[in-house]
Amino acid sequence: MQAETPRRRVIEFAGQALLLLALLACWEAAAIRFPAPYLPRLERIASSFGNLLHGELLVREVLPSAARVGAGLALGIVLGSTIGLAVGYFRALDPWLRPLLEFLRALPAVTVLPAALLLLGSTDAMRVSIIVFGCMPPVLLAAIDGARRVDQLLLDTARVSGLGPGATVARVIVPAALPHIFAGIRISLGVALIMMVISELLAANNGLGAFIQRNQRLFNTANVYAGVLVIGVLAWLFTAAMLQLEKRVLRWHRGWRGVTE
Amino acid sequence: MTAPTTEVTATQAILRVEHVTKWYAGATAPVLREAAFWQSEGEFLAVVGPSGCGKTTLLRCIAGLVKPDAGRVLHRGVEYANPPPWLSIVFQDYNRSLFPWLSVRRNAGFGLRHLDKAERERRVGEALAAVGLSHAADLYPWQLSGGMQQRTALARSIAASPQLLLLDEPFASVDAQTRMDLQDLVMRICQEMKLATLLVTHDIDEAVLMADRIVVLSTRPARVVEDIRVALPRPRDQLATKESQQFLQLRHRVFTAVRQEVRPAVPIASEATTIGATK
Repeated sequence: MQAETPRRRVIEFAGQALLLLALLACWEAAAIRFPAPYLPRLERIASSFGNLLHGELLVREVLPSAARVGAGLALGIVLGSTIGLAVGYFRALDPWLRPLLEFLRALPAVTVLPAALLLLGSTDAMRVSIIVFGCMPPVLLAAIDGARRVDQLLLDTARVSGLGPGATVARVIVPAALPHIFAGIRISLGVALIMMVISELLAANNGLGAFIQRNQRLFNTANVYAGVLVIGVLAWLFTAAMLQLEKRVLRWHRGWRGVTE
Repeated sequence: MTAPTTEVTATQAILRVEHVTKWYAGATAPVLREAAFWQSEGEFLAVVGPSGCGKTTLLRCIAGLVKPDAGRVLHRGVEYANPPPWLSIVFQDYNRSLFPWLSVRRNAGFGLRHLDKAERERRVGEALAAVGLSHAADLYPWQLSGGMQQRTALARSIAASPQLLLLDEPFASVDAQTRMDLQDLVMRICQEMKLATLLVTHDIDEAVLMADRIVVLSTRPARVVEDIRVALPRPRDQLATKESQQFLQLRHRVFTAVRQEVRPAVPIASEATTIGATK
């Protein structure tokens, strides 16, 4: 098994590359066989894609989208985990807030977009706000859960060790709740990307959503597909970064989980 | 034979439990009823009783984690609430009382944040050396065996330099061989540090082997029914001590006291007839 692993990895990689090439070949064949505006040649999509990754287009379209996702996600995580830990810690608050929180979780976040547009106008504040609105509930509910599930024996140990309420939160409740919070963040990440794209499709003069929308109206289909690809890359980068962070912060948790479950 | 409780004055007693009664909400009877005993400086005291008799509740009252409904707990004649800094506890569930995100070293130094770094490191180093875990300081609790985890918890307790060490059935969740190793380790450490230790256990052999004195609790509601001095010589040995005539006599006495408490609660004859009837 051990010796086979590198070979297996090579075979896996070859398979993945082959599948990708086959799909691209199909696309290219179809584009040559049925020339149509909605089926641009690969070369044109590739050049549009390249244009989006540097220079003016990168600054005007890609970076604003990335910044909105980053800001919305960061705010949503900070607010969600702070409120969630507080609610989970002061259990008395939970029954009051629970119905509201469950409602917010069930509500598809995009539905508030028209209202947000009326309230805040077509501004970055509006776009970041609805990303925050979308990605706060999963983190918040996860943080409540995490804070409530802290083992009573750990809390007793903290008390016997002379920790006050503040130190108990910082040194026991936050670390114990982090695995839950990260599980919430994974959900939030997807929501944040959806909210970013939709808010830009609906109302924005820059960003990838707006770029796709504008080029679709101009029938510039190579740019539309390139925009989709860049959003995919952006999503992948955010996910990979978050997984790296999780791996670092929760290094202890992988092993611990492996032993106890 | 019952040890005279009047011989120790308030100043000599490190711990004095006076008529502690504890009710839990909704219960028809208290968990503890007028439990009263004392422990003198440097003494190894074992509290034994039938399982589920309220031993742990008593220990939580002494630790200041739970407030008694009546009665009081005094440390050198002074009443206290909340867990005091001069006391540490080793719980039964080592895998729930160690912080899984901290290494052994940082678990052991958990309660020492108020000290400066050098002093903290010195104390943690000494505590880990005392429990034989210096080589495992950078491992995480889940990388250790049960016995090593419990030794980590013990290191945390002694690193705090307590005046009183509470042990809540600390050897109940490990295998027999590890239990004996841990018993020897705790006896050695407590003797070296001249540390007053209160061991709560349902294991009578363990109590007789380790303690200077044994307090026997009744079934619920728990009160003190017997107070037995264990005058076995130290250091005590798992084999030699346990085979001595004196050990066997003491064991017999404690066992009888505990069993007398269990018996009336279960009318064996009537139970036998019920079983016979259903067949």
